[in-house]
Amino acid sequence: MTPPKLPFFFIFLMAPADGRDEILGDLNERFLAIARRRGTRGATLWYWSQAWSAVVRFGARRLNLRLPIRSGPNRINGPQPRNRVEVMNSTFSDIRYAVRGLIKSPGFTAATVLTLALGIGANTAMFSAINSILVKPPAYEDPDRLIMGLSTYKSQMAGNVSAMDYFDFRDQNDVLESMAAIASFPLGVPVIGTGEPERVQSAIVTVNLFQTLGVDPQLGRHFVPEEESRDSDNVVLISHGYWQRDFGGESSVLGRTLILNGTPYAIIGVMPAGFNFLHEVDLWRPMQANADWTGARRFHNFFTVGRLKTDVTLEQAQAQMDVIARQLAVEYPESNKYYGLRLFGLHESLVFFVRPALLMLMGAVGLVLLIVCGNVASLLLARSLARRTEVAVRSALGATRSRLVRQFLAESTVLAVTGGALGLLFVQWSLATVRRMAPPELPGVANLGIDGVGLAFALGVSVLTGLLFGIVPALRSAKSDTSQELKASGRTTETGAGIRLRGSLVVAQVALSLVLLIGSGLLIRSFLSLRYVDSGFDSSNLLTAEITLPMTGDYEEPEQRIRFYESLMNDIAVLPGVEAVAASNRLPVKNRGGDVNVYAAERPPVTEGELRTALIRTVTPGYFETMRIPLMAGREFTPTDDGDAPRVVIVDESVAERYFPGENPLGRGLVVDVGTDEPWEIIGVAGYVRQNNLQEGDWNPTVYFPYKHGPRLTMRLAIRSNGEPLALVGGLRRALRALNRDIPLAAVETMDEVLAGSVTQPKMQAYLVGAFALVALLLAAIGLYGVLAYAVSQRIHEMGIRIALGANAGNVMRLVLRTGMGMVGIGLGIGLVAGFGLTRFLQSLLYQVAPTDPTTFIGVTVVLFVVGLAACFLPAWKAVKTDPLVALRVE
Amino acid sequence: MGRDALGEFEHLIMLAILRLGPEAYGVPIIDEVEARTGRTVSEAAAYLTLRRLEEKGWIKSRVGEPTPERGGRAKRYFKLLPVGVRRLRESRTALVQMWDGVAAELDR
Repeated sequence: MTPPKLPFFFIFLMAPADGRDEILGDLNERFLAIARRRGTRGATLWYWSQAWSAVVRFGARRLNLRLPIRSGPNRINGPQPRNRVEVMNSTFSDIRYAVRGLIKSPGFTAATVLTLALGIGANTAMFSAINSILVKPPAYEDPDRLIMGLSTYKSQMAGNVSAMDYFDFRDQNDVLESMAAIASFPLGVPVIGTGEPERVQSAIVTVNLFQTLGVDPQLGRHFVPEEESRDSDNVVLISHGYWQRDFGGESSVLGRTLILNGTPYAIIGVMPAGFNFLHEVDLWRPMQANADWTGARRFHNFFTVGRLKTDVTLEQAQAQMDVIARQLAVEYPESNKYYGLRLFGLHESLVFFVRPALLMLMGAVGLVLLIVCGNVASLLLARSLARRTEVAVRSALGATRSRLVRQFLAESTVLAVTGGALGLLFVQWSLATVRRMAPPELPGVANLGIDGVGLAFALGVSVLTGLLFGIVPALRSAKSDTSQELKASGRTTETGAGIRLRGSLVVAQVALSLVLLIGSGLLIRSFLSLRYVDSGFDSSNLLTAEITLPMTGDYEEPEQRIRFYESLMNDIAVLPGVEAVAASNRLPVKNRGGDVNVYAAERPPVTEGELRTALIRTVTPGYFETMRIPLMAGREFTPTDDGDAPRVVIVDESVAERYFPGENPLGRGLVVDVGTDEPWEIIGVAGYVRQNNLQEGDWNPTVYFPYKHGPRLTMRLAIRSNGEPLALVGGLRRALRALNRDIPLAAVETMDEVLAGSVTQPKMQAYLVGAFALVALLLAAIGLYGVLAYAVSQRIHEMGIRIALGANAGNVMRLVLRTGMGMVGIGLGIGLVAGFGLTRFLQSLLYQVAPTDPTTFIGVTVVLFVVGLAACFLPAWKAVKTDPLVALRVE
Repeated sequence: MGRDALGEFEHLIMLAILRLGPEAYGVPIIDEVEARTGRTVSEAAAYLTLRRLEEKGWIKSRVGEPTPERGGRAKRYFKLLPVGVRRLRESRTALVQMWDGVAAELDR
């Protein structure tokens, strides 16, 4: 256990260099002692209080000039330091002087530091996230040699590989040290272990997966090759979390038994804390040959993982897999004709799907940081002008030019570092947000935090920013001509170059914010069109839950299952508040996948290319009514559609359209390839439902089967309530327990929650970029206002004369507005062009919105124009209100 | 009393060093003061005071060994110098004489 990083960093920063070791050491020692006595929470709290006191005390000590140097103002302006000690001392005095000066202008300092904190904080957070997710390889042994093999169908990515193909690839190649596989989906299983029955997520893995990854169990042993056989004893490895939760972390867990699906499994080991691969699960079971999902080549259920031999490249390995795939295609043309195996670097394939989103966010915060720098530069520029006289006095007293430059640099560096430190607080918060939006199977998300590199990055950005915006005003100030400045005596006027410089900063800011606004506008529109997409059913007041019957024992016979679900439905239907209830083996959006080959019985496909798949769902009578899926033709299933009755199915409108275009599908035969080509008679046509997710682009045709024709063990309940759906949970639990108290109720959530959860990531993206864009808009407006207000105050004399000579309010206002809106106009032009160029990178993140969507482009341009106008209006108003007498008297 | 007065906190810290003898480094010093006085002492305050005492020439320090529970960072051991011992003794004498006969007043 180590102290929390953030306060540690504060102490590290503030402690005197020569005492840092003993201070941090003492604190570490006491932290551990306190953690033992009062727990981690108490110790963390205590550590924070120590950090606070360190910041206050050491900070006060650093500022309050008790440093062992006797220096008066002369040192600030004095001659060049000669040796190293003097350089150190003068650096100290530079910093001290800078801090004093900044404290004297709190408004400027606060604005600058806060602006910087926002920019630097957001950047560090994004960098930390990208670093832990995209850059840092997973914590497996020698991760660069790990590869992932996914199947291709007709050279298109398909993903899943069948177990039998996996065996062939594994046994025939000589490029991989070892090759393993893992089921592409986690599997919830009912488990009876130490107490209440519960539902636990499990993964099916080959016996060599963990050796391939190079991860050993913390306790116990690996699977052994014999356990791949169906005849071997049932064994299971459990996660560290499950071990702690259910077995109190006792080593006696080895050899204990868990009842999975009614079958006993012996626990042979515990994986180390934090270990997870692909799915977040608590149990790993060995994949057995010739079992339910491994028995045929067309059962594509696995991803493969391998470790390259030391001298083999990915390309060489790929070449060999291609050869093996071709042999398999010749040997098993029915199943393998178009299949191949494509290899990817493991890390690369795991991050593939989030890369665009993260890079987009990084781009967005980068833009914000640029705007931030522009704003601060503008602020510093104005400040340096106001201090011209002071600079002139000091250089008259003998300060050299380089000394003055250093002074300004010190000031901006102090600003940047302070902003950076404050930004770190902001980082903590942002990282929590990133953690929420990232899918859990991503490597590195679980222990996402500010790491050393992220920290170094924060400091690097702080200092660089300081130098960047510090150097321009510093050089400008140092160039100034002493006697001229002293003669000007107080009234400062800006040179043409200065106006142009600040003007171009404003133009750049406007352009950058427009780009950000366009990006966020597109993402928000995309999210909204997702949210309000027609799902095909009514998700309101709908409660969902999942029930799995054990495979052995009381529910081995189909009739037993039918009876169980029938009585459960009947019991639920009479609960108060229940309007309707039904069940399906997979509910829309909540449970994906499940497709098979389907064709019209009268038109069997001639070539394989004509085979097309559809999703299949098994539903109980009343399903369409409960889900409020419209029935366009025919009838709904009834309780009499059982195994003895004719084989009937209901199809959705897209099936009707695809297989029976322009014809009446009712009464026609449909062949669904689940092992027989005996056709099913279509008795109804239902409305189209988005089964997999809300954003699916293509039709996902669905065929519905009556439950009694193929009674499954796992069913998902859909319960329509006439009030708050979650209020039904208690009654539901009691009804289930009354039937069988060993069956757990799982995945209880409302359908609205399911739908909202399915768009979490686009929502977070839209919100985050939206927030960045708002910050950018605000900063640009402040920048514009600052420049214009300054320009007006510089020309107050001129305004006074104009008004005295009879210019009316309209003339003056136009004059100021023209200056301001001129800058805005140029900025908008540049931003629009840049936006057209850049938004195509957003393509993959957008749903039903073109990257050059004109509504968004025009909309945000108008918004920025109006905000710009508002920012210009105040200075313009001030110019109009100029009292000529006052303005002229300033002279 | 000389130019360098002995503050109350400095007093406590020096007594803690005296009590601990060869074991006097940051953690036990703070623990000692906290345990005996019941007040909370922050690392930063203790550090600054120790440094001040060293600058005044009343105590001296040496760098000790690093240990794992310190995250591999070295300790700094403190020891009273004869001048410091003399200051403590003077201080005690002064305090004892001032306290003589007034304790009863306070407890009333």
